[in-house]
Amino acid sequence: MTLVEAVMAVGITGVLTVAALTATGAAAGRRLAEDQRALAASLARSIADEVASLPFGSPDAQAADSRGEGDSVWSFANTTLSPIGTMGGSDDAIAPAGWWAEVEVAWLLPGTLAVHPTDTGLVEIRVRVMDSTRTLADRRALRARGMEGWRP
Amino acid sequence: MNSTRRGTAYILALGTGLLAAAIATSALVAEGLRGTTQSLKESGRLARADAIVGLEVAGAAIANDQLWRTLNQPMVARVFPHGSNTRVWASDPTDSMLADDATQRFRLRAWSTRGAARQGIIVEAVPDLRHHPSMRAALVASGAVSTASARLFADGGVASGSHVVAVTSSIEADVAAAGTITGTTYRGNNSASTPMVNPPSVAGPIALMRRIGTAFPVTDIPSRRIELQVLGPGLNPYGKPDARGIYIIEAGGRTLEIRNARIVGTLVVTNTTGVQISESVAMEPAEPGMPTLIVEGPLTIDTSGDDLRETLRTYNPVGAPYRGSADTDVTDAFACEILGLVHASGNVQLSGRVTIVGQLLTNSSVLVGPASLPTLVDGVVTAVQGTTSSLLGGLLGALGGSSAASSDTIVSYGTTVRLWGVLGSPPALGYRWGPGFVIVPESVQRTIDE
Repeated sequence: MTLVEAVMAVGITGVLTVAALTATGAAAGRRLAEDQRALAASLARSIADEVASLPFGSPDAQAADSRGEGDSVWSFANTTLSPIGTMGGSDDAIAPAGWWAEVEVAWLLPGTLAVHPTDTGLVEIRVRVMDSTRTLADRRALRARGMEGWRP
Repeated sequence: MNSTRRGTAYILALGTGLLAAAIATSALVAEGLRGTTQSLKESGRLARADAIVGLEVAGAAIANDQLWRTLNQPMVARVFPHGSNTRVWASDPTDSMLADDATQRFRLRAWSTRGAARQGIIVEAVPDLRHHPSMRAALVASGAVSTASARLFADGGVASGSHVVAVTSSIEADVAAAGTITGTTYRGNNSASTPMVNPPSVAGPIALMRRIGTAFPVTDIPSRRIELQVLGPGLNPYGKPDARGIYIIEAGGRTLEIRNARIVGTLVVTNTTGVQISESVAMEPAEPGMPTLIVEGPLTIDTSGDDLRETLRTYNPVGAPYRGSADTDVTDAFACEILGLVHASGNVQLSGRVTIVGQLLTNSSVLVGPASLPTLVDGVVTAVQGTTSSLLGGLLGALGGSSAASSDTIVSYGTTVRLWGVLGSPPALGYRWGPGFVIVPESVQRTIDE
């Protein structure tokens, strides 16, 4: 075996090994990112569902209510949850540090699902889980007046 | 020897390369499979979320449209959240007929597809038909309620968003008012300065009736007077008959008179400068849960209280039976009364002997007494037309003036408003409040989970 052949053999082996490691590394990185997105999506969905399971209420009643969060879907209008904890009152964080959730509540027209300024009997609860650089998940839940206590 | 070594080196190099390629390929394939599985699971979750969205939209659509069931609309929502296809159907599990009975339980079935994932959810709901919160009394007025030389009997009470003034009258009812309650004589409990909920606008109920009724101009009625006629389901002497007896008369700024006539159904008079009901009338809705009379304008009821008697034609033909009886003879008599819900957007004047077995609503004021009595708006005299001194004295006394009101009453005019159908029957279409149903949580079923 000449020196050239030896170098070529080592080069080929090296290139292929690096390629394999790069591919598996990229897959692992992608998996980590997907896991983060999945966690963020799960958190956003949980928060949206939890807000949607609250009594329908009204923004006016909420404004006059001094008891704070937890009374109706409107209790969470334009709120930021940081850290993201369970909404039953515990402050234990269930998301990585540096994540937070923004909650918006708005009236929707049932026919078009367009945002409407006055009471339509249907609200959209929008939850965005974010970190300092980007939105990790954006989930929406709808809630109609009268649809109490049925969510599976 | 050199050849053997060279071959071994090639095999080692190629083998290592193949191994590395195999590892990389396996990692990529595994990742791809994992991604596909994750994607399918996510599609299933999203399809389920879409089905929930569909049910919520359906719930809102049902709550916002009191006619959804009347018009027998089985598909109550079709939405495309996030690119999926979600539909919600309604059905009646009791007899498969949605429109026949608004008090029967109904079922909502949501079906959502997203890619290969399909999700279905079924829920059932019990109708919960409630009256508009203003309708807690037999006579409800946004403005003042004034009586003069009158007996006003209202077993469900009188409610005013303004003041109540009684002048030489007998108010045989519990009275509640946002303002003051003055004058004599009240024979029930009075609650002044009580927060009141005003009746709804006539606009909503009229819009509903337009969707299911038959409209014609008041000029199709000779002399703009309904007289010696019967209107009812399939019976309209002035034009196209309506199968359900729902007639919308477009007054176009004109008046309409109703006297010596029978109406079985729902009469809506729009844009009128006045509806006057006089002599003898018999009015009732054609079916439970429907209003009897809606007037977009002022209303005067000045009936005699005498029975409506057939003379030239029958008033209870087929299509408009009276207490279950229909015939062609002209020998029957009918009680002079209005059964059901009467609602006027303008002032209501009641004189003569009026009997309403139902509810009377107005978005303005009510005056009970002879037509020549003082006109009161929010308890303030705005016009005095030919009043007697005793009546004016009583009025001044009621308003805190110096003249004393008589301790008892001169009863010349009698109005009776009896609550009917409020507690036992469904509230009238157009006057329902709230979503109109309650979900039965134990009825929730998931039909597909892929």
